[in-house]
Amino acid sequence: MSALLEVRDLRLQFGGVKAVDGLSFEVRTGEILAVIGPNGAGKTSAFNCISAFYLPTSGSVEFDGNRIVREVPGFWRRLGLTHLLQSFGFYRVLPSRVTKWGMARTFQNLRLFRELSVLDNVKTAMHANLREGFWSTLLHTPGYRRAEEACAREARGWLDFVGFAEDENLYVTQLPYGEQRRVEIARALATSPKLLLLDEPAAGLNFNEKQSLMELIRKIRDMGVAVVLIEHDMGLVMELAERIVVLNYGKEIADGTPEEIKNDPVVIEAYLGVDEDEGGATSTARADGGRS
Amino acid sequence: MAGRLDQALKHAPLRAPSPLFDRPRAPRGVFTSQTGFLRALGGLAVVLLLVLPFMDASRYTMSIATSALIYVMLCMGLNVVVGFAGLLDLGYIAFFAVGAYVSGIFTTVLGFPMWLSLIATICACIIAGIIIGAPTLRLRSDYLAIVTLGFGEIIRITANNLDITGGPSGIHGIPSWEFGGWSFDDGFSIGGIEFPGYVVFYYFVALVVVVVGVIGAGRLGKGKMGRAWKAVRDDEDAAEAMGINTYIAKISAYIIGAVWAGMAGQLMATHLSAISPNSFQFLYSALILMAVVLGGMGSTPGVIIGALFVSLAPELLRDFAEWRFLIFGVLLVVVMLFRPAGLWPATAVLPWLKRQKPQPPPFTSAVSAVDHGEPTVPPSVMESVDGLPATDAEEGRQP
Amino acid sequence: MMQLIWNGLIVGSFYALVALGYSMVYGIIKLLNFAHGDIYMLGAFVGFFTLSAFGISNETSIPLLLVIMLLSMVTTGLIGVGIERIAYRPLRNSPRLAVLITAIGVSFTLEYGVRQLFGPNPEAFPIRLASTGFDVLGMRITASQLVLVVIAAVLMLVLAHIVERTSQGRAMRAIALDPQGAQLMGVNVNRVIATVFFIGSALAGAAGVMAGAYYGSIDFLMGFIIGLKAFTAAVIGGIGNLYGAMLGGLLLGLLESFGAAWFGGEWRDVFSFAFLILFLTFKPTGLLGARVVERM
Repeated sequence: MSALLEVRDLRLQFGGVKAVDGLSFEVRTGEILAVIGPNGAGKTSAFNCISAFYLPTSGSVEFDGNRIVREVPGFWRRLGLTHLLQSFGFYRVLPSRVTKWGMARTFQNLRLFRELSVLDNVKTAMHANLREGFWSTLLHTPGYRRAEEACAREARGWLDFVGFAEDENLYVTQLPYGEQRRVEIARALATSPKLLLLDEPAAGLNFNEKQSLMELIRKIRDMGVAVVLIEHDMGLVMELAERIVVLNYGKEIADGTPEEIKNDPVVIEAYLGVDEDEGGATSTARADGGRS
Repeated sequence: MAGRLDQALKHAPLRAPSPLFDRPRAPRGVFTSQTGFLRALGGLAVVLLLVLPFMDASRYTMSIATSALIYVMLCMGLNVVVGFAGLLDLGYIAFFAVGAYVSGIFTTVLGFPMWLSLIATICACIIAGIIIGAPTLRLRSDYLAIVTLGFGEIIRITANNLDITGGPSGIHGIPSWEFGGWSFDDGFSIGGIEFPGYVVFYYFVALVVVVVGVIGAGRLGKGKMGRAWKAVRDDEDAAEAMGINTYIAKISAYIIGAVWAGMAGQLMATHLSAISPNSFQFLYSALILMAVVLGGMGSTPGVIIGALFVSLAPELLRDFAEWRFLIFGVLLVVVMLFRPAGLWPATAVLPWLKRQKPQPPPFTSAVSAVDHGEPTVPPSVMESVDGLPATDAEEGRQP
Repeated sequence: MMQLIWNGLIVGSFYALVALGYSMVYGIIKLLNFAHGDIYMLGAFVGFFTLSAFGISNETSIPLLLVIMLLSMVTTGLIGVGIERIAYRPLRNSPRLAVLITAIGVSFTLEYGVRQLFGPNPEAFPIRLASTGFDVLGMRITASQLVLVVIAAVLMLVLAHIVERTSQGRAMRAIALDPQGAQLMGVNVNRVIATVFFIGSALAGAAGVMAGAYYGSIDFLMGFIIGLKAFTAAVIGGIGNLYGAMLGGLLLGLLESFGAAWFGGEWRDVFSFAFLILFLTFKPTGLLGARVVERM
């Protein structure tokens, strides 16, 4: 099967810190891949590069035949204009573009639109698929009404799909944490993705909520959507993932099935580590964690 | 039905499964729904405003009422920029100036009729919105505020220094609307009541434009673009991740705001028949902003109330006029500290509707399966959770 | 030519003093203190009020100017701290928009409060430094200008010393980098921020008194344009960077001086605002600011 997402030799540097240091992996259609690693290993940074929020220092990311990382021609680079040109939108792909190609993501810290209702949060994600023009909105044409109705129907469909059980007209801040997580997944699904990136979807969930999350992720996979998740909960990862990529210090240290990963000495060392090593790893993780 | 609905959406690889149950339709009555009530309120207000000239058509009343309407138009435009899209524009009066000056120059210097200058005004405001917005909308919100302030000052100083804008004394003798041989200045009479055209008529024109402006801005705020604006306001990165090109969303809000202000500018130019750079100081940008903030950012009824308060209070309370800027300043601080959403917040629910409990969705098997699913794994597996605490979520973003 | 440079430096040193406060406050709590220009205005009015209360007018003594300046600095410093305490601190975790709007409200309150107290018309500042001057290198330097430049330079050196060498300064830099981290390390964040507001406001107050003595007349709106100019200066130098603010102030003064000579005085403000827009568009980090990677 051909790869849906292909990441090759991805590197990202913040000043002197190598957040991602030569990461390569691929995701195939319809699989569940977990990316694990100690805190500060560069997982979220890699996610941000893949979804085009960060501009990586080098490397290539190809998604469904589209190149996400663009090269700035050497001429401009030598003039030192890389950053300026990219900030004006040249030689880069915008995250919204990537989403339109069919890659959706959630955020590590819940980032729902706080002053929109649950339903509007999900509707917002259908922005690119909605046929509504300026004049039809202004005049409330039948086409506009149909589009709004279809949009609401679709949004409710997703809310039901993720098992959202509260009033859809509530503001997201009025919801319990677990429900907010569901809304965020529904919102990501409403962009109609081929690939779903979940950044720590189980963080802060209790045991039952984790169980239903696993069920939900499997249901999403069964619809033909590939799922990549970053997760710290090993129990969940080992049970859910079909393949696991392990990162440490921005480098990929292992890639395999849960069974292989469980018995990989390199992984065990990275996690349990030699005593002096672990102290260092956690402290850098803390310093980074606050800022990401 | 479903097929026609599907056509309303673009082709997408993944479609949601149908909703599990049909929700009851929202009530539509005047007192049973928020929109119904607001519509009725708006209709009542329009009727009252229509009747006003028949009660009191004095020049003074009409003049105040027209300028209040112009304020409402300006505030609706700024509400799109600040309230919906969350872009702080401190030079908003610049677009008002562009509208007023373009219509003034087109009618007096170039001798075009008023209706043609309206088109020119709208085009000029779109161009001005793009020129000002394009380079600056990438900036962070606070930088944007200062840059727009700088732009506002640039426009004012330019108008003050150029010959075509009449320099510090501005443009005089802006003609009114004409159709064929009949001009608004001629006035007319209905049922024995004489309508002096120069005052009353602008009031009616302003009323029509403002009603269209209020409804239009409200509708835009509820559609696809409006959701995009609010998403950008709430969280720009998340909006981008939802497939919204935030730059286009911001610039469209900016252009809409500019066009609204430009139309208000044209109304003012024809209403006063004279404009000068002094009407376009920063002070007025700040006043409009105050109206929007006091009323409630993003809330149409709130913003209208704010606009009426800011424009009418100095007229109704003479003593207040002297102190008003001080009071507005203090009010601004107090409102931001104690009621940041304004007098009538955008998220407000009418008090008697608040008590209505939302109907719980019917309990279906699908919901329960996901919601209260029996653990399929023995708890012992879950206990082998990796020791690293997943506390990152709580640490939050840095301000 | 040399005259233009000299005039530019004089104006630039005013800009630099006000820009320092802007830049310090921005650097430490990322707040664009819109009311900062009005603190400058307040400084001038505190001096005016004190001198008028003692019935002093048309004075030319430099020691008196220094005394009044110190008094003004302390007063405006305390006012700055008060503003921070009342208006900004409760909103420290609010969205940027809210704080910015509050700052505009504070600015209005100060401007029109002063207008209610002293009236809308310009007042003559009671100290007017002698304009006897001498010619050096083809430029005419007056004694008052020299005094002002020296005072500005001394104030900036003192500030640089505080920030670079004292523990308060270290705490400031720590908070600018990472407020949570600094708090965890035992820095009293509120206290340090108050100090920053005190210093920044005091510098603006000093600039206000100096401007009063230099231009001779003060009015309640004098802080608006200079606030905008000082922000421009801070941006040109790299906002958050102290030496950047000084450099930006002097540079903006020079640019304006030459711009006014080339395009005509009426376009001076357009010229400097255009610079602000150009800088923010193409080099938002300014001349000395480090490129900040926008983290999510």
